Amino acid sequence: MGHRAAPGSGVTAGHGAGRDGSAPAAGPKPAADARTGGLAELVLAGLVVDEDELLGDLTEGRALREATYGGGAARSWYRRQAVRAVPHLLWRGLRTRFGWVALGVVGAWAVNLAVLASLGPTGLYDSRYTPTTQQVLGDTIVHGVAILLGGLVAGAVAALLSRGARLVPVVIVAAFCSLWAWEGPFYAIYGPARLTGVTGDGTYVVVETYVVELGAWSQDLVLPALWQLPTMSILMPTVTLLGGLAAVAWTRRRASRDGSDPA
Amino acid sequence: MRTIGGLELDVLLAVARSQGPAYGLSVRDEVGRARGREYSVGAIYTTLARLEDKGLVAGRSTEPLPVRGGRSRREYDLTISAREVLAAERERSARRWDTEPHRGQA
Repeated sequence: MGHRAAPGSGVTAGHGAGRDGSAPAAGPKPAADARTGGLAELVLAGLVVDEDELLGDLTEGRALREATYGGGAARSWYRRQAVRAVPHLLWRGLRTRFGWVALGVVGAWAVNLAVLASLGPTGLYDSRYTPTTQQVLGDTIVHGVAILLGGLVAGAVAALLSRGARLVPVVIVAAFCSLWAWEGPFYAIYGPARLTGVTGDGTYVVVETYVVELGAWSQDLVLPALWQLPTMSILMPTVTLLGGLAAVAWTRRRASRDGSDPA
Repeated sequence: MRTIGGLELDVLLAVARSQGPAYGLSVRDEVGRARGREYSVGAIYTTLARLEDKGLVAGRSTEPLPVRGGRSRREYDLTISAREVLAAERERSARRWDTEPHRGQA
């Protein structure tokens, strides 16, 4: 059984920057502009502890393909490899950084709950109750924007609380938000469900029991179908991910400036 | 004796067979040749990381390299445990094929 020869020149003594977040390798840090290679690079950097190994391999592979097949093929290869790497990195991050991931998820959830609690109850409308324009604006635009801003902050908090693999808790929170959005339509379809409303003194009452009514004539379930679903299942995970990516970009920029470890 | 999966075994063999420094891309190429299919860089990266966690490979980072956009390369070598694992796997494989199958060629 043979084994490989000693590594060539340029190897630092001892172990370098480990995936466990140990001290980074000796020597100069890469230039800042080499670390800003677009969204794919940012996502991958947010899913690993030591980004040099994976991103360096991808950069080297892209350079090899660019010399042989041209720039387009090289960029396509890079993107394909980045996409294929994400599930592997998510699973590894979850398994090896569970405590940090859990901390990030709890932090983000606390932010979301605090935002919801501060906004108070939202009105529920059906065909028997026509809300005023101010109520509709308040409940949809103001509450909706506040919840989305809360999601942005929650994503950033999740990423900042987690050490290494910062985007793993962000992706988990985003997935939860998306699933949560399907709660109303799920019960409507598998109902009959109870539509609850909030009275003036803040207690919840059952307004009616209903099944889903699809069609232009139906005024029931307009909010869940037209507002809750698209906002919560698409926009909420999107802003959560954007918040997480912004936090990752910030930590990388700071690390590049200070010469420290971004994890 | 610790057990390892099929891909982990092939990655260990790729590190063992490497003529030069064994790192992610070179291991990926070698494993792809051995298995007859292309593996993603991410799959090999996480497998190497798992093997390092198990104490079967030891990694060390190089100085930043221009071809890698100024990033360092993480190079791997087998540990003593890995050599024991490979020897055991080789013995197990030889034992498995020691007796000629009676019913046709496999």
